[in-house]
Amino acid sequence: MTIGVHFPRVLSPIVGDQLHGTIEIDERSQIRAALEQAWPGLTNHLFDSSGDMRPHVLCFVDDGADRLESDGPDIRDGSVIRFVQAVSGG
Amino acid sequence: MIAIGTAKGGYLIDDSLAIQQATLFPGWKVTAWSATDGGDLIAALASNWYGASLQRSLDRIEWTPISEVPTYPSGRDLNQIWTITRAGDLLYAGVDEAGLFSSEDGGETWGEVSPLNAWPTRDQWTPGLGGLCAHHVLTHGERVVVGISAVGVFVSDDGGSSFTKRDEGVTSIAGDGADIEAGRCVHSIVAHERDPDLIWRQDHSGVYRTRDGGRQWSRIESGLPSTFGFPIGRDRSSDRLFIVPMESDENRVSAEGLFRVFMSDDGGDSWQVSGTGWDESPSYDTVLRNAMATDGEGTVVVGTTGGNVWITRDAGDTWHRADLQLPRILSTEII
Repeated sequence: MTIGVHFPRVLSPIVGDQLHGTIEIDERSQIRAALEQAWPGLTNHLFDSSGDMRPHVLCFVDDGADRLESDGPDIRDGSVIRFVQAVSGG
Repeated sequence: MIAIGTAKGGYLIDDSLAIQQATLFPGWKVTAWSATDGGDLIAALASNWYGASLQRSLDRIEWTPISEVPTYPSGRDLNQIWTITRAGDLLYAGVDEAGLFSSEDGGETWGEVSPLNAWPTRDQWTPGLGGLCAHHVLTHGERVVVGISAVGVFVSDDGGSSFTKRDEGVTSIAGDGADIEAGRCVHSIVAHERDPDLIWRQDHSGVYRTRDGGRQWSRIESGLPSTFGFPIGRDRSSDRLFIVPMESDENRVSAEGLFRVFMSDDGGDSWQVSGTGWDESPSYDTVLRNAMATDGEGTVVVGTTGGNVWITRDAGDTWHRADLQLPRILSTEII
């Protein structure tokens, strides 16, 4: 299935000027690997050394907040993952 | 060209001190720069949200991410890259959480310098305000010197295969006589270009010099209004040293309410205000540890926490403040 991915502009040094794209996966557990394959080095910026999503990274899949864990809600063809600029800042 | 790293992105300014590139990497801290022999430029970025990144430019206009950043296999976090130091074909990266990595392919891939990263008392190391970080790496042949806050100075004479900790004579942050191995809060170090045993040190506890590769350190503070500060630099062409005294540990503002770089003409035996050109109006501006750069030919640049850029092109005889104000400056490099 094809999943859309959207990034905030602050991630342009990592993903380039094209702030949206797609990944192809068969199941939810493949999301992280697919992100890394599409944008090498990206997952290091989304997940910490323990494998958890970094605390201030905001992520939504379709209409729900999501930490992209393997056992999360079902994902379907055409779903969209949105990484949103953190509201914390300074 | 001067590269300026700030808490809000990077800036390149030209020899006339006009901005040529702005703002590079919006939203990211730019913590270090390194120009390679090949002419390309590496910038180290850090984000409170997205961690650390390395970026490379071949033309200083277009930037691409280096997909691999130094990574601890042990699960320690890599929060920030504090320095990228060239040693021939080798690159060293000093990082937070404190550790050292090396790259043999120009920064594309990185490996741990395990003898330092697996130091036996590593679990007793404690961070300074800026974090637990390896922030300075000096090299000369097989000599590798690493400054780690708030831990101390580590010296290798075999290219990083083994290290010894060398802080004898430096006051511990726990006070004189405290019997703890860590706790020497080195802020910055610089070595003589031809004599790697001659090293100067701006420490949390004062200003020091060693003539024997760090085995014994002695205070060199004559003429200073205060001994607390962060950067220390050296201009090869004039043999001059430069520091920026702050009021105190508790009051980290310009000493005596005036922003001044101090310099030494005699290897640190004595210090005085560096040259002329300073504002007479009160200023409480300060300089962080990686925000002083020298080119060895008389140019010294300091970037301040207030976003000011000061430059001398005659080894500290006269200073000029650039007509711009940037975000809080974290790093400078003459490229």
